[in-house]
Amino acid sequence: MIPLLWLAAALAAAPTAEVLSARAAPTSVTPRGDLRAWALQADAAAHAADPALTAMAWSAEPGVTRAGTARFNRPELESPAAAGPLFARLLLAGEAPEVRAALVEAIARTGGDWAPAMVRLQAAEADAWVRLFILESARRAPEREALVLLRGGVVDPEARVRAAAVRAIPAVPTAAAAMSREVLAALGDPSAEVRAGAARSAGWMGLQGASQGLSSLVSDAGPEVRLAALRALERLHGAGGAPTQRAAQALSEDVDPGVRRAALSLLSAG
Amino acid sequence: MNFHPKPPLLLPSLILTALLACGGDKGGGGDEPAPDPADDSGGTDSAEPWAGGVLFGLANLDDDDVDGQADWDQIEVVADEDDLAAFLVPEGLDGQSLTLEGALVRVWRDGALLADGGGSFTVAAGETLQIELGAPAAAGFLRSESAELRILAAPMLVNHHLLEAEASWAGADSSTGTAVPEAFGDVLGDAATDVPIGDYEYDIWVQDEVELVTTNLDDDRRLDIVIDSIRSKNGRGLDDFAEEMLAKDELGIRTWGEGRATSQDSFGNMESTPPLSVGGVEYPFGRIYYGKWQTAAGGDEVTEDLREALAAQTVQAPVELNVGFLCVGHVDEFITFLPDPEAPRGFWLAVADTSLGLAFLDSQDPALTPTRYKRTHNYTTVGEMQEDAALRAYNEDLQRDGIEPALATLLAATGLDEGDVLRLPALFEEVGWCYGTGVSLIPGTINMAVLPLPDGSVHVIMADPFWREDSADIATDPFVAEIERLLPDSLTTHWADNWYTLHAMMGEVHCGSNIRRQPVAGTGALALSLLESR
Repeated sequence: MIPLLWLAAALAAAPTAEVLSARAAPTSVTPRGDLRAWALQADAAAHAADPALTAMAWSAEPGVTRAGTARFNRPELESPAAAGPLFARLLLAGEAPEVRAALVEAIARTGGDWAPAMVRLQAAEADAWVRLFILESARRAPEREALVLLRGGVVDPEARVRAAAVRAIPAVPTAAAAMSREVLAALGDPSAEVRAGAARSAGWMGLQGASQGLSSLVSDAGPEVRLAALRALERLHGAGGAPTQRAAQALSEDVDPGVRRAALSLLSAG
Repeated sequence: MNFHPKPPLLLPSLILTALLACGGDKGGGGDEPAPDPADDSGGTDSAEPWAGGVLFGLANLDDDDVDGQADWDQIEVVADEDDLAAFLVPEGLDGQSLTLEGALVRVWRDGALLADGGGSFTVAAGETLQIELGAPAAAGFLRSESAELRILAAPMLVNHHLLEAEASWAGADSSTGTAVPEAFGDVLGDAATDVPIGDYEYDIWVQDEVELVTTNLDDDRRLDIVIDSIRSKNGRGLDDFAEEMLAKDELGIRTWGEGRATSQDSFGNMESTPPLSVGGVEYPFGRIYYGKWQTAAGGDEVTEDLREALAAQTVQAPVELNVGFLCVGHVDEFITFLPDPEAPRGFWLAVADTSLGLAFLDSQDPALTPTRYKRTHNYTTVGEMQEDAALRAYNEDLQRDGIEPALATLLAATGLDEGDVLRLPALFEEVGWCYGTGVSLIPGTINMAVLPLPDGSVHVIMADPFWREDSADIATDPFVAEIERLLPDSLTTHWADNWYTLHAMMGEVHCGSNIRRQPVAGTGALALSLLESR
């Protein structure tokens, strides 16, 4: 996955002068539209209430997940009060993208009121790796913000972000109800990862209107797309359904062993 | 399970004159039969004294002079060297020229290098030459005009879960709290060592950093080898763990491969089955299995140099499984082997089963609030999990298109069948940023440490699933009860809290620990004979 190169970066941050200044002179409520001001205010409020937790949010070093990515795993940070200082660190500390992505993931685990700010950040974030984690935070966001994050994700210039977005749609009930058109459109995305994700979501969401598009994807160049299309047709029409059986027949001699195995299994079941 | 390995190949003539120079006091080139004084078909007077001869030795990868360098890497006979195989030159070769073939073989005469990877030299009858070998399973020949001597290094063996645990190392992290080191201490006592991961940049993946393998000639001649992964470099993370914490006599530390590492270069992704027989071929040391991460994003696999090195050992012919359905992509996330005298072959192939996991989920009280799942996994109640249609669909797909195909591959390669499989309930969750692949939702019990002890007991250390409120006692945990019900009675179970230290970081008990195992007596000779015959 990710080489441990990010370990070479500084892993702990310190509050900037701007942060310290804000703590010394707290302001009144700031609209989240001004992210920077909001982050400073959120940090200052958290610092006033729990300076120890705020200090930990700034100084904590991410550990190494088994996939090689950075992640914060201090249990104390799984607290709503940590959201503000973690967000301020994300926005203001200027850390490496891998650490910033880990901060996004940690913020989403706090249970705090972070989602509106994350929506703002999604539009402004330049780094695709960080945007991927912002998109993923939709799975933990309140439904309104989740929908906005997913809608931003499906039009992201980075294919990996678009793919994560279409895969996440079925996991968010409001998105599953409102974004079927985006899923259908993604069946024709230039990226195989996006097409596979869209096919999977179409099946999970029971999008009968996707049947024709899914049948077309049976001849897709990407084996993961062909398998996802086959499984989606199975979910839509059942193992014995005519579209499923036609697809299974077409894939029964597929060059990919995983696709072939699934197709043969469906043929025998049908 | 009974094995009927071929008897060690006879080493008819050369071996009569070959010996292992082990400080001058140990003999034997493997488990060759004692010479029959009445047998005059070979011996040093034969016209072809080396016909069929084989000289066995150990790779000289340890550091006898304790200078921080493997002895093989120094082109000299170092102080206190005790790993050279030696032989007496027979009469029939007096004055002849010998030619060495073998890239990882050197020939020495009283500290003087005669040949290194090739070359010729003249010998005198009665003199002793020393052979140095540069890698496990390294092979070569010494040839004269009339005879040849085959040279072989003992293969390195990846140890399996039926072998006794000698010592363990487990990552310890006071900042997140983990009971895993304590659990190892409970089982192994002083042989359990805590690894302070704060000294290693919080890189807790002790399993992934090193593979502890053994090579041996006989019960007295054993060289442990640490395969040091390319996953960390330049002193980052656990890079220096092997040198700093595993040092012992007769230990070699070696890295195969270089360049960009992938997750598949971690050694949670390399295990060995117990002994097997497949289609008439005996694998008395089991077969190595490792994963290849084949997904839409491409394919990552164990670094080529290591794959080639493992294949060259021949006796544990590796099997590759597709682990592309997992984010981390290690075989220990969904498969393990458990000793059990009541099992058809003396062990079970334990595999994660999400069908059982979903059945378990559906059997649970929806009002249950397993505390730790709230923040880490975003489920406040079991009911939320039960109603999550995407979670259900994800686990169904993962089982039939991920786990089952990998299991089928392993079954075909091992000659095992469903009757040898022990299915344990498991649930995975999607890692959205990781191409939609999965990681354990309920802490992975399959991903356990297996510790057979000399008294015959077998202990397993598993991740506490916390399928309960934090305030509740583990004795009330329904998932613990379910796993205990399914596991063989012969196992002694230990449940360790690894939630924040390992589980939340996409691993479990096995990933954060490592075990050195005791090879079965006599395996060296058997391995050598198999290597020689293949």
